[in-house]
Amino acid sequence: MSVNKRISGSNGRLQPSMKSWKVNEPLNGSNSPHRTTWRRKPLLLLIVFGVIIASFGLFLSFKNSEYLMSKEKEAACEESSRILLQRYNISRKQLHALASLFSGSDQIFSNCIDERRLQMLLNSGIACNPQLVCCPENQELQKKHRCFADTVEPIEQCPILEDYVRTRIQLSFPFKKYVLLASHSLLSSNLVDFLFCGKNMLQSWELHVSAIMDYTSSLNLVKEYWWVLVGIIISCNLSGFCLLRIQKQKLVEGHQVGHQKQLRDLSRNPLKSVGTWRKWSLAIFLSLGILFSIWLFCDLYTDFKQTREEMLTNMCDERARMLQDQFNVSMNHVHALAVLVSTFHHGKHPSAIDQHNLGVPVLLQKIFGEYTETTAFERPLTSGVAYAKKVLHSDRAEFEKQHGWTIKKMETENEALVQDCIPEKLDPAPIQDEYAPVIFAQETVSHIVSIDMMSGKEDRENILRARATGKGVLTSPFKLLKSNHLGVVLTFAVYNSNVPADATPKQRIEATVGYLGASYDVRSLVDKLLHQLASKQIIVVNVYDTTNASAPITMYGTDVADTGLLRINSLDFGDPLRKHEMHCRFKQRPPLPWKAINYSVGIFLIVLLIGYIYYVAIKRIEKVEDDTQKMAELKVRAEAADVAKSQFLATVSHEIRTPMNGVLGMLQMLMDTELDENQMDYAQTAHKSGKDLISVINEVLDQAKIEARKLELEAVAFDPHAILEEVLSLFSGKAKEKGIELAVYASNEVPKVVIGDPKRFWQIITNLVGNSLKFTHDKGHVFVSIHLANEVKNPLHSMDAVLREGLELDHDLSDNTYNTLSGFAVGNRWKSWANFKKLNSMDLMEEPELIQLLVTVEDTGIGIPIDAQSRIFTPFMQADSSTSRTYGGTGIGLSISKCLVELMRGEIGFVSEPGTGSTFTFTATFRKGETTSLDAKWQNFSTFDSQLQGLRALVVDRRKIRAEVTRYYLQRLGMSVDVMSSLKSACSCLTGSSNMRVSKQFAMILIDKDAWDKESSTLYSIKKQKKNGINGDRINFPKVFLLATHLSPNECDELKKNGVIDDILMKPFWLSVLVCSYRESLGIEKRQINRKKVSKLGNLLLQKRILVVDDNAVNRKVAEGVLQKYGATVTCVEGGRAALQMLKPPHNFDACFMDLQMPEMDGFEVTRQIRILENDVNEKIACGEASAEMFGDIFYWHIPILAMTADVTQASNEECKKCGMDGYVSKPFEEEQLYTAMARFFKPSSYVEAECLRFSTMASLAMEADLECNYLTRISCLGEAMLLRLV
Amino acid sequence: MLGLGADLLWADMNRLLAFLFHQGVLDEQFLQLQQLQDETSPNFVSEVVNIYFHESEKLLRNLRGLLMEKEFSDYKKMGIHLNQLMGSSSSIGAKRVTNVCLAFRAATDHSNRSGCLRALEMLEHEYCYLKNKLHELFQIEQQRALAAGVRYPVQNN
Repeated sequence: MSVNKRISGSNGRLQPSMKSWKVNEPLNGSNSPHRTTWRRKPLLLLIVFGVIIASFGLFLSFKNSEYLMSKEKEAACEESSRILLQRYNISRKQLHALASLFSGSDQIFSNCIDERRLQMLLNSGIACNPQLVCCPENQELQKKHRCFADTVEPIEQCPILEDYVRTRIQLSFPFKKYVLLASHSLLSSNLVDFLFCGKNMLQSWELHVSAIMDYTSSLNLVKEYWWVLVGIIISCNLSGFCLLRIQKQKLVEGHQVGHQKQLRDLSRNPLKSVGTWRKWSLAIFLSLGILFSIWLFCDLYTDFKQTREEMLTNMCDERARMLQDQFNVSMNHVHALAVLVSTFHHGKHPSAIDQHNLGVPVLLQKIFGEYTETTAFERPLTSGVAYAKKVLHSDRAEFEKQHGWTIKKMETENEALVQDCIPEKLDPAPIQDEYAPVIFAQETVSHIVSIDMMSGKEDRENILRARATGKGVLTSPFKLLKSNHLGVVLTFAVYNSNVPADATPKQRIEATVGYLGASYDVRSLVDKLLHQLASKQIIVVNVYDTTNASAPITMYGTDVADTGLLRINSLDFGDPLRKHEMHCRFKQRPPLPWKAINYSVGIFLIVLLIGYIYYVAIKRIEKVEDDTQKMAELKVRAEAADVAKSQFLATVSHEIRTPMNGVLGMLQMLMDTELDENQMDYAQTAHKSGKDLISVINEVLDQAKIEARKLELEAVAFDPHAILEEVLSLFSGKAKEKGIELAVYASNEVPKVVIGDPKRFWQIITNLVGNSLKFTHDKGHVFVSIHLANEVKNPLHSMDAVLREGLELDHDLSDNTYNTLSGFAVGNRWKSWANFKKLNSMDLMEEPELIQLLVTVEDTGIGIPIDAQSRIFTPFMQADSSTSRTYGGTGIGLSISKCLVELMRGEIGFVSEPGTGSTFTFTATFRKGETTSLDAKWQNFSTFDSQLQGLRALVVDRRKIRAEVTRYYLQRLGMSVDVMSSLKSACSCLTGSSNMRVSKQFAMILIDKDAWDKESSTLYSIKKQKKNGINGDRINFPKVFLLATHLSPNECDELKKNGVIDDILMKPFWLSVLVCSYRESLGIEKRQINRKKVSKLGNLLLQKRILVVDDNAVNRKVAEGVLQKYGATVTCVEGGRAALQMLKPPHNFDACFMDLQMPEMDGFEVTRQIRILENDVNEKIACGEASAEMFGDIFYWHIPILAMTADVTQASNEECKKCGMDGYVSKPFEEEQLYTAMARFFKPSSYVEAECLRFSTMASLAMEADLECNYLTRISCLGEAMLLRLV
Repeated sequence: MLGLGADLLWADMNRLLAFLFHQGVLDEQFLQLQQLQDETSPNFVSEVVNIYFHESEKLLRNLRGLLMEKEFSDYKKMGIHLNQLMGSSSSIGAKRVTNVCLAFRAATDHSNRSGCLRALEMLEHEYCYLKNKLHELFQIEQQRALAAGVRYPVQNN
């Protein structure tokens, strides 16, 4: 057990700390979560709003970038479409040129030339086709981009072209072979070329697509991050709110825990840990946010860089490709021209060019010039083409002669001449092995005719290489003649015969007849090209010849400052020996990555903002926590103080009450002694003050109890009528002193039994009545009435009379009185419950078990000042401070009453008019009860006295309410009552009823004194009737009582002498008084003593000397008490030995009660020893050894010994008998058993003796009491009994 | 006067008694004891009960002393004490105390020390309760007696 206790103790020690943890946590929570949330809400909204805006902006920007991308694509598309269109146009023009050539050549040239040309042209035409065929393929790949739809249309015109070509082919069917051949030989290369180009495009588009994909993916990624961020924020906030809520809940829980413990265990540790946790989380959040923003910046920046790079790459690739394409196209044309020129040599000897005699060279010169001029558009990049003939030194003279000019040297020492480049001014070429004088030249470069190409260093190398390889050969860039631009010269060798593809260089050199050169002005070429392309402003393009890797020669562009990115594309201009590169770079340095900066800074700011908000929230929470803690401490302290106050009050009150009782009692006793007037006055004052003090203390205690909510109502069955009577009896004295009429009334509907707390109910009524009495002086009445709350709703005709009268307070003008109990005006009771919510909207019917009583206390006092009426129920508030001086009291009574009423689920209200009086009304809810559930005490009240049961009474009263009250009293006695408003009508009623049967006749007439005074004339008739009654049947004539509130004794005597009245009843009459008076008037004795049994046993034991043997002091005392009550003389001993001593004969005990279980010697043993002793004595007497005188004149000693035992079993009974006991009684004495046991031992003679004694005492009593009939009858009874016994 | 103005204190007392009866703290023996009280011995009940308290406290003390002895408990002696206590308790009608005594005695019969301790605790508790309640009762009775003397000097009609 002790172990358990310790454990529980330790538990008890542990729990508080654990609780305090729990408690403290809630304490950390804000005490005013609402306000905090409200303050936070805008912030939260702000955050959410910002986040939404930011994400929207981001989304838009991405959209935008996407849009830009698509724009770019579109631009690229347009560009390519433009290029396509250009190509198409070019090829169309080519065809036109071909057509014109046909028309020209038909006239002049033989078929072979035509064939050649056609073949060449067709080649170029067909070369155009694959390109066109290729493009749709590309486009199909990029179908999703709508912008291409536009380009498809012009391309669809291509078939027309094709058709055209086909028809041409069909027309010249014999050339089919060539066409096919040409298509075979050239198509493949071109096709590959264009396929490659297509592939390039495809690749670039793929790049685009992948870039787009990248963007979208990055967009998704960013979106996801945003969502994550939003999620974090929301979760943060949510968790914050949740935390708050949880804390709130815990706070609520915490309130229920003992505050003492709180105070003890209010440690700050958990608080601090929570605070640091929050700070940590803030720091983590901030650092995460910063990291995130940095990461975002990096990510976006790399994206940006990549984009830029890709853009550059794309643009550069495009340009390079374009350049290459254009160049190749031009080269092809030049090649074609070379082939065309070679046809002049084919199959002819001397070649057509050399047929000077015919003037052909001049013509050819012209044709060449024309042709080249007309087809110049095909070689947009070339500044001009020229044909140089291979002239050996041996042939120079002849050649010069033929042409009429000398072969001139290209380079001069004089630089200025080069500038002008007038062939005439040039020196003749020095003697060399062979020369390559220009014989044909395009118009644009006609100035180079007759210049020896072999004399230029670059050109010479070029020519040598070209004729060795049979392919187009490029020079390294050099300043062109005349234009002085940097340029390259493309040289093709023209062979006089068909050179096989695998011919050796030597063969080729031998077959060479001339050279076709085309000069490319690189700068204008690139310029032109770049002009065609979009976004040329953005990038700078440089073209270098990197054949000599260590010293690249700038072909185009200026040296620009390094702007970071550089893209190098190698260009293939068809000459494997020459290497060209294109360098692209942006014109400007990369702009700052604003997007990345904006986003990261934005996020950083948002993070900071959130962090700040969080920080503020933390601060706030901390503050609130601190406050809460302080509050809690204060609260605990305050509560402790409150508890201390209550305890103090309770203790002090109790401590005062106890001695006060003594004081009061002593004072009362003092007053009962002989005191002179002054002393009596002092004593009475002291007594009264003491009583007041006690009542105040009681009230304070009650108030404290109510405040502490410790007041619990009982649920006991009681009779409200009885409560009224109690109240009446309690205050009647006071009312009488003050001359106020005090009356109670309960309507018929008020049940006999309700279940509730009678004490508290009584307390409320007493409070109200006490107040009313206190504030009513000398006149008027205090009237307490109980109704059912439902009665208020009854229709007027079936309403209770008192209620009805309340409704119609008619003013009796005749004597300036009101129809009230005392005739004074009162407050309208209906108004007093006007504000009752429950009553007015009451549906108690829904709970049929419940019953609501409406109690009204009405007085004609000074009333309550109107300004004080509002605070009348506040504790310790009286109407005004003078009230307490005048009337005393604490002013707590009404507030207690209010509390009690509320506890009884009722309402209290009042109506008061200063000077008229106040009417207090309250309702109280009770449960319905059964009559049988009443305890005896209440029963006693309700079935009061059957003496008056069933009698009939006539009440004569002018005032209805008073009559009703009287009727109520009489009905309580079981009488049936008629009410008459005047004596006159009463008389007529009497005469009418006197003839009726006895049961119907009136047993009494109660006449109010007012009526009596008013109608003294009718007195006579009554008198007469009474006399008649006396003559006739005295008993049957109704007794006449006068009802009066206060009468002087003289008046009483006077009225009595009149002879009409049997008695005067003073109001307020109690039932008891009424009954008494009636009985007296009937002559019935007052009371019968009902103590038959007691007297029986008393008779039996009267004057007996009895020894009680018991070791137990309590039992001893009880036994003594019991026996003494029946008149026995009791001696007690506490042990067997003492008993033996006492019972040693001779002794004068009549009986002995023996406890069986005693420590040293138990009852059996003692009895045995006594019996032995007695036997000894008896034997001695019998033997004459001792005279009877020695043993008190008794010859046979046998004292009746009765066992006192708690367990009366058969076994112990047997044992009792065995050891000589005469009987037994069970230990808690039972009267009947005791009687039967005793009756066996005590002779009737003793009973008679007792009766005689009684008789004598009674007789003496009777003599003292003027031989009252009561006593006389008793004496006679006794005498009879005695006689009987004696006989 | 029929004594209609029955005291509140009477009611209080009756209620308390009823409560004690209802709880089984007291039985009708106590009522009988009360009936024994009359003008000749106005304080009979309180006298008896005071004796009872006196005796019982002594007995309880003894019982506790006996039980607290380290090794040996004189169960026989305890039984005698218990008998006494039981007897006096039943005399004044302290039903619950009597019942606990019975249980206690059963425990002593079995020499059940822990049972004895438990029973002793219970007994002490019951005893205290009874004592408090009876004190309360007597206080009310005293008040009643005083109040009866204080209120309404008999009025003669």
